[in-house]
Amino acid sequence: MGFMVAAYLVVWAGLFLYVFWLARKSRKLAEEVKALREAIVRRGHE
Amino acid sequence: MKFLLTTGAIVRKDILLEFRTKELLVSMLLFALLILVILNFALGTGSAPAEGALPGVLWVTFTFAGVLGLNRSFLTEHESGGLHGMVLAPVDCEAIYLGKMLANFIFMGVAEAIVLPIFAVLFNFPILGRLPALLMVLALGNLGFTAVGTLLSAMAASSRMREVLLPIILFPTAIPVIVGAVNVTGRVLAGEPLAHSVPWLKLLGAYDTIFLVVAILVFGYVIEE
Amino acid sequence: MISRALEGWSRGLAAAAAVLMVLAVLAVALYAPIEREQGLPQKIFYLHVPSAWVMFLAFFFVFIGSVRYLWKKDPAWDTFAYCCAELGVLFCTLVLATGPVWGKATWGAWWTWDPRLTLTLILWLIYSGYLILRASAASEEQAARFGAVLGIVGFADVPLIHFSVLWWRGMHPAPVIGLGGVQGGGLHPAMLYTLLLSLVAFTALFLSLLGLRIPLRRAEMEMRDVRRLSTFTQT
Repeated sequence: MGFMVAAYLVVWAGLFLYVFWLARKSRKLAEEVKALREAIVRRGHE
Repeated sequence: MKFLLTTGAIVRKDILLEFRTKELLVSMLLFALLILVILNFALGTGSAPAEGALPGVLWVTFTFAGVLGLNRSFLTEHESGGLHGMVLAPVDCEAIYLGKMLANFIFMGVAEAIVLPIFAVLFNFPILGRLPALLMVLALGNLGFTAVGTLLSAMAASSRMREVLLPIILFPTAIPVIVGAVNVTGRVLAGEPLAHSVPWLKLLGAYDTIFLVVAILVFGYVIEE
Repeated sequence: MISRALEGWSRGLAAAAAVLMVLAVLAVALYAPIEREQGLPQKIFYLHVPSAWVMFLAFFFVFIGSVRYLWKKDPAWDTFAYCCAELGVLFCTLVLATGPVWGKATWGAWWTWDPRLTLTLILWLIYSGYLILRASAASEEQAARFGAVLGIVGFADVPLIHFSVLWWRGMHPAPVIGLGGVQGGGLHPAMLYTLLLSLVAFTALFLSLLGLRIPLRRAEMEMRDVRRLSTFTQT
């Protein structure tokens, strides 16, 4: 019983970890886009 | 015709370069010898490793020394800009690949030819009676390893990791060659006639053919700029 | 093309995948019979086999993407190949994680050099090498080109590795992960249906993960270009 549960846990954990990792990448990209946008606006005002 | 001339020119160039410095062969041989010695200690608590391990010992030695050779083959090209020159010259990239591959095959072959008797002496293994069959396995294994190795080392040499990358991408790809070669070598050393190993020989032959063809088709994309 | 289609259908696909995965788990827990010889651990089969199927599918897609990229030099196909390779390695890892657990539960040994698991291990090494090769390339263009070459070489190797490992194993017979008493005959119908459902669910999962990964990868590549441009225009 324990083995089966372990296997299922590992698979689901692996899949969720991957999705979380993708979400983190996405968030970092969004932040970078925001920073660039602000830099452009600042540059426009100079 | 020009194709063959180009191939021949590249083989000649590499062999001549090596004749002058002898760096590659000397380092390959020393390295091979070192591996033989280390494996001897690593594999046996008795006076010598188990007989079953001997074909593996031989091929591990060839493989590691072979990687050394493959690395040097393209690294010097990369550093001296030789690859640039070859790419710019109006020659078929397939000829470049074949030339490089043949040169590598010859170097590895020479190294194997010298390591084999040393192996026979160090491990007290009589090989004279089985020489023809043994040479055939060596050639088939060498060909497969060199065919893929030349292609992959061209990539490794151009990457940021350089020579460290080659074992990482070459070894897993070359596993069928190693498994097949070790198997047939084992049978040959045990005195079995080659006829017993036909499926394995077919596998080695298939590997050699498939990857020669793939490499020829794809090499152009590796060296293009 | 495929990636654009995935974006449009992405949400629907993700929802369908989620539903199918839940259904599959329910089927495994409630519908699939407990195998006589192996007992409960045999149900790992419904994770292990679909993961392996997805892994092979992914690496096949890498091959297709690699060939098309070298042929047409279309970066969309390279993006497709890269994302499939990443997902392929992920599912490959899942196969390598579930296999030994199943083996330990059934035979008491984590690893028996079972031909299929060994093939999976070697594939893991090859395609991890693919990712490393791409990461250490001198330029994005080189990464795409070299990746494509390795993507082709790696897949061409699969049948050769399969036979070499199988025959080698044939010389050292030992427990092979299988369906125990079911190997010779057919699958019990309930097991077959559960397996098919799991296969469909995992495939849908793979496609929806692809639908997530590809746009993200494209955005990453664009951001890299933008970053490079911005450093040029700063001074």
